[in-house]
Amino acid sequence: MSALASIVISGLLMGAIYALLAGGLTLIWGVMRIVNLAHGEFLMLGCFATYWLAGSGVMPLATLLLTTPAFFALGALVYVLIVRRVVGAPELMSLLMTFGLSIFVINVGVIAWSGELRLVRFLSGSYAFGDVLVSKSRLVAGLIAVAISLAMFAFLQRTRWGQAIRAVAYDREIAEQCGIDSGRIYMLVFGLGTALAAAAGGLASTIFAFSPLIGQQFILKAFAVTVLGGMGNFAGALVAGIALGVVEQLVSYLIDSQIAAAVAFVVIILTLLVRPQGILGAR
Amino acid sequence: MWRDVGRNLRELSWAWRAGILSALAFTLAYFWGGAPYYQSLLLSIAMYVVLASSWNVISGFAGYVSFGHVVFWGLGAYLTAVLVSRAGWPWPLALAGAGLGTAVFAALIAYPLLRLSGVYFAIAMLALAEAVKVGITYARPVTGGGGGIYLRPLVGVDDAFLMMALLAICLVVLLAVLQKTRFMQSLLAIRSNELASASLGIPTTRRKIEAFALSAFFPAIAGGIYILNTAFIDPRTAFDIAITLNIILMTVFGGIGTVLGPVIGPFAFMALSETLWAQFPFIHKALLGVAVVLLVLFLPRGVVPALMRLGAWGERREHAG
Repeated sequence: MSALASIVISGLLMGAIYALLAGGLTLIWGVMRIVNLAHGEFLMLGCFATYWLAGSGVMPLATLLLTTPAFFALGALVYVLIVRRVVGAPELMSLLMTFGLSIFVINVGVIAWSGELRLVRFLSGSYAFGDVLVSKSRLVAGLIAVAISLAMFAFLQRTRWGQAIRAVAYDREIAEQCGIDSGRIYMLVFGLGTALAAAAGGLASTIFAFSPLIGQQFILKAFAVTVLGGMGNFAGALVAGIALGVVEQLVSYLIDSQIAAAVAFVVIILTLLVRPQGILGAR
Repeated sequence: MWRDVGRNLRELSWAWRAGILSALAFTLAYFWGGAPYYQSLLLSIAMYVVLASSWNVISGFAGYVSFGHVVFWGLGAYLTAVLVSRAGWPWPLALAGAGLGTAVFAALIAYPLLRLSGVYFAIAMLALAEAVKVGITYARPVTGGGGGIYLRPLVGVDDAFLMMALLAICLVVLLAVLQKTRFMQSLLAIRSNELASASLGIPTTRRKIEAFALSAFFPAIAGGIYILNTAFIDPRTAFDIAITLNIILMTVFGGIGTVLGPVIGPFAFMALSETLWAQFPFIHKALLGVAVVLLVLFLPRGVVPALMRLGAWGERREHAG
């Protein structure tokens, strides 16, 4: 029983990181109608940024304070340089362009850092709650991920900027007539999405060994979360991310860890077929 | 429909007939006299012509962009391998079985999957390819799991090249003569506006399923020929997303929704990647990423439409269309 509880808690915490990553993906889709296939690569770059900073003596969690603004700026720059040109184009064009970006970043990463696995060492060991053991690094990373997701949700719901973002997502033309500069909103959203991915990467790097190829594993999970939560639905992504984390852990504990890899894909296909608006969505 | 095909075949332009004959002559010349290196290069170009042309049916003509086309190639390779090594079928029969089996699989999944559209369909296909990969890795007793299947080498590179090139020529000619049939015109109508097409009486669901099965059949045979030649397949190779992306890039570069685009694309792409490979052995993949971004920015409709706009022939076609 305590083993099962550990598994569920571990899944919850893993899911919180999925939710953070997918939050960025779903935000960009909801506002810009672009599926960012390079989203996992921003996570990978976030892992490496944390690795460097931690290597030069910064406390791993404090690195987020440095990397998140830096990746916000990087995302805004990528938007201005290339992504801007495919907003509103047929979806094949935005899929291809972000895919090209993804291949570029992965391969530059492989050239620069080789394919070897790295890990940010931080908080080894576990906390014991009665019989239930929870890994320290996982607990801290998961809680921070939830905190960032909730802060982002509050930003979208409560602030004027958040309102402007939701207005553009709802109807770009009406928002523009109300005096909102949609180009600036897109830049803001792409920057925020990128920063969320990098934050997820920074947290994941303290739990997992990573290489320049890690983005590809995560992007497929982020897709599953995005689809399950309803594409463009930030709160949905939060719930769905945590759900996916738990289900994956349970499947790998109760059935087989190889099959757990397929959970994300089965979730995508079933959700699209049965409930395409997602678990929280009403379209 | 078959009467239309017959008429289109008789009315093929001289340029088309000359092109088909020279492609056949070129194939035979290389089959008898080519060096193995060029045969294997042309083998992979012909394979990509098959893959790109078949992707173009569902994604270019019908407008359902798939990000999981490699699944049909991989399934074809696995079915061929299993039929030959486990069931002991002779390989030509196994190839046919793989093609038909994969087409039936496509027809079965088409009904639910093709209810999705746009980016949802693209992602569902991506997920399907990955799910099939995990399934095949898991079905170890039949498929050998992650370690893959080894066969005795059954077909040499020259024979494989000949079969693949003939398959590619057949598919391209088939698509050319299908152009002015109700089938292909319904696909174009579905791409423009599916609801309006249905209200005009086009059986859209049936057409989409047929198109999907057609676009699954040829890659499966190509996958079968591939494994008969290489004699080894594992899940990582068979369902490599890079293959899907090569297919999409080649087709978009050549011209999506045109018959000749997916023929030109693989030649250009292979030439580019062989040169990049030779010049910059380490950074060629990163440069490929840059090339993709530039392609989307500057040539989103591809080479063939651009050439058609240039020539007077293209002008007449545009007036006619």
